Amino acid sequence: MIKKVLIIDDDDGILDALCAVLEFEGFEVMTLSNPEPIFRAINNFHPEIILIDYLLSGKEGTVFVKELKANKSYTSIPIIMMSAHPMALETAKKSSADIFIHKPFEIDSLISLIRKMGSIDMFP
Amino acid sequence: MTNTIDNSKKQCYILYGIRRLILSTKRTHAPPLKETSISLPGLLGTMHGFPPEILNAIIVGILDKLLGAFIVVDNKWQLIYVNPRAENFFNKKKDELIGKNIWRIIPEAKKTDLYHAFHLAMENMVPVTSEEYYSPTDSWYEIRAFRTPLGLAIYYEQITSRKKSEDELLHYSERLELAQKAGNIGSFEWDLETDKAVWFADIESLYGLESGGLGDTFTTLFERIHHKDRKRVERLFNKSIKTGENINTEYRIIWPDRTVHWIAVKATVLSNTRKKAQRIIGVNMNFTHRKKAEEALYQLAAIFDSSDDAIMSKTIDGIITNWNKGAEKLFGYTAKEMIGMPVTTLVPADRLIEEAEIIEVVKIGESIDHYDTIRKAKDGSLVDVSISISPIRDTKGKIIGAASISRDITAYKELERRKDDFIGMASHELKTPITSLRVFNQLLLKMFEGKKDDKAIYYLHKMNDQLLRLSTLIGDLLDISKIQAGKLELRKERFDMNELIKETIENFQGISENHKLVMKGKIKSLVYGDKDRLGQVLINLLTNAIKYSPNAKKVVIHAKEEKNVLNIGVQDFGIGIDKDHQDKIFGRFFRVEGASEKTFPGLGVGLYISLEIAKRHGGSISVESKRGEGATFYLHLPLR
Repeated sequence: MIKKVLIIDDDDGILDALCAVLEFEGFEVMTLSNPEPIFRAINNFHPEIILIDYLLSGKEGTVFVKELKANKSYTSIPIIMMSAHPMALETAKKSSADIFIHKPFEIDSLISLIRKMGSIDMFP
Repeated sequence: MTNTIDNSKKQCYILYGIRRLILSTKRTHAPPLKETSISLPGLLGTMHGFPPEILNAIIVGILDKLLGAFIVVDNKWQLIYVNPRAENFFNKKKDELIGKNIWRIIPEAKKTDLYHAFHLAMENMVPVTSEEYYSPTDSWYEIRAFRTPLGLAIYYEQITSRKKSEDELLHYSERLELAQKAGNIGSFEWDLETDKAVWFADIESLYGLESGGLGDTFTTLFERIHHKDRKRVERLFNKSIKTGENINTEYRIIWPDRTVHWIAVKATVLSNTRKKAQRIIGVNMNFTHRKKAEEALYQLAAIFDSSDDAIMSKTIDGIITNWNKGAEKLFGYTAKEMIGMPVTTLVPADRLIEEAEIIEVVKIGESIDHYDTIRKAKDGSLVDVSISISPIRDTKGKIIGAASISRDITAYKELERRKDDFIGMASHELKTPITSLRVFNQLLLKMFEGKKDDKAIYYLHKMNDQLLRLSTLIGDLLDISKIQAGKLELRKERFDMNELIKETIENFQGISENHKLVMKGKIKSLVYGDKDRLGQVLINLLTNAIKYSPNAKKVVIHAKEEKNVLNIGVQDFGIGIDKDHQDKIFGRFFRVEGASEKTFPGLGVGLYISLEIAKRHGGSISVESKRGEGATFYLHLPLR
C-alpha cells in the first residue's frame, strides 16, 4: 500500500489542492514547486510514487523524468506526468514517465490511479 | 403629289410633284428669257413698224433657234405654235401637235398644280414660273407661262444641271446641319465690320438656349462663358483678330439651369487683302459628355494609381496588361517589368493549379471574392494576399480578361496567428486554476459526505457543474486553437458507435430534465475513429438540440448505415434555422439569435469544432431545417 507521494508542480494552487486531497485520503505528501532539489527530496522523503508536471517554470518535466529513470536508485519509483498543455502528450510519451494524465483531471481517478500503480509490480 | 408613270406613252409627261411652284401675285411682265432677253409679250403683241410677214419670219426664226421648248396655245388650249425643241420634248412631229389640245397630249399634267397654274395664267393674266421634274429623261425644266394676245405662251427650259447642283448643295447643307446637330456641333459667322453674328445648326442649344437666344452679336456668347475662362477666351479672340491666327480652345459655359458644360471652339479669321480681319467663321462643339468621361477616367486612373492594393488586369491567357503602383509595392516588380508577362510569374510553383482554376472561373463569367492565398514577390519572398477577381468584358459582352485586386494580408495573418496563440496560451493558463479548484471542490465533497451534510453536498455539486462547464468552454477554446494550428490530434481505434451513442444519451438523460432522448436505428459495422472526439461531436449536437428546443419534449437520434456511410441524425423540435444561416452556423463564434428570442449561452464554436472533427475523419456534418420546424443535424462518417 502506497503511503508517500512526491508532487512537483510550479503552480502552488495545484500543489495545495493535491496535497490537501491526498492527505485527506490518507497519503503522506511532500510538495516541490521547484524541481532543482528533487534528488535531495527523494533521498530524504523516499516517495513511493512521483507526480510531476510537464512544464516546470519553463523547463520540461521530462528532463527530470529521464534523469530519474536513468538512475538505478530511483528507476523503480513510478512516475505520473500531468499536463494541461495540448502538445504535451507526444513529448511525454517519448520520455520515460509511466503514466500521463491531462489537466484538469477527476481527482477520484487520480487517487485510484495512484492506488493501482502502487499495487502493480513495475519490474516483475 | 406623285402621279402615275405611264411608260407606254412616249409623250407622257410625268410630274413628280411640283417642287417649287412660284406664283407671282403681281401682274407684272414675265421675267426675261435667258437666251434671248427678248420680251415675248412685246414681240408677239406690240411690235410695230415691221411688215407682218417679216415680223413673223423674224419671230419664228428666233423661236426656232431657242434652246428651250416653246409652244403657244390658243384660248381653247390648242397648240398654234411648236418650235423644234418642243417637237423633241413631246417626241412628236409639228404636224401631230398643231391644232391638238395640249391636255390631250399631256393628260397627266391635268392632275397637277401646273394645270391650275396654266389656267390662272390664261384667265387672270398672271405669269407663272414653275420647276418641274420629267422622270422619263430624268430632267428638270423651268416652265414659264404668260398670256399673250394669241393665247398662252409656254417656255420649257432645261435646268437639270443647275437643279442638280442646287439639290446637291441643299442636301449637303442639310446633311451638314444634321451632322452638326448629331455631333453637338454648331457653327457661327461673326462679321467684325458690322459686329453682327450669325448662328447656324442650332448652336444656341449647345448653350442651353432657345433658338435666337444668343442674339445677333457675340456678347451673349461671351457672357455665357464661365467667369474663370471668359477673359482667356476673349483675349484669344482679340489676339486672333490682330494676328489672323486660327482659334482652337476649350472653355466652360454656364447654362441657364446653372449646369456647367464644356465647349470646344475652332475658328478661322478671314481677312481682306490688306490683312484686316473681316470675319470669323467657326464651330462650337459641346463635349461635356466626353469631358465627364475623361474626368471619370482620370479619377479611375487616380484610384488605380493611388491604391495600396495591387490592381492588375490580365488577358484570358493570363498575360498581364495593367499593373498599378500598389502592385509594384507589393510584389516588387515595376509595371515595365510585368506588363506582357504571364501572371504565373507571381504564383508559387505549388499553387500553379490554383491559377488555372481561377482562369476557368473567370472564363464562365464569375467573380472570385477575397480568396486568401500566397503569391511570390520579386525577391522570392512569399506574401499572404487576399485576391478578388472579376471578368473583363468587351462591348459585346465577350469575356476578354480579368481584373484582379490583391490585398496584402500578411499583417492580418500575423495577427490571426498571434490571436490563435493567445487563445491557446490563455486557455492553458485558465486550465490550471480550474484543476486546482475542482480538486478542492472534490475534497470538500468528500469531507461533507463524511459528515453527511446534504445541503453543503448539494451546493458543492452545483459548484462542480459550473466548474465542469468552465472546463468545457476552455476545452473548446483549446480545440479551436488546435484546429487553427492544424494540431488537432486523433487517437483512432475501432469501436461500436451504438455503444457510444447509448453512453452519451445516458450521460445526457441525467442532466436533461425536460427532454427525452430517443435512439432509433442501429449501426452494424464498427467505426474506426477517435471515440472521445466523436463523442464530443455527439455531445455538441445533443447540447444544441436541447438548447434550441426549450419547449420541446424530446430529441431523436437516428442511426443509419447506408452503403459505406454512417449517418447519425440528431433531430430536435425547436426554433429551427433560417436557410440564410445554415452555412454560417458552421463558422466560428456564430450563434443563432433573434430579436424575439433570448440569447442562447455558449461561445458558438461547437458546430465549428464538430465539423472539423468530422472532416478529420473524412466525413462531414449537414443540416436540414426550416425556421420554426426544428432541425436535424447529420454526422456523416465514411465506413472503412
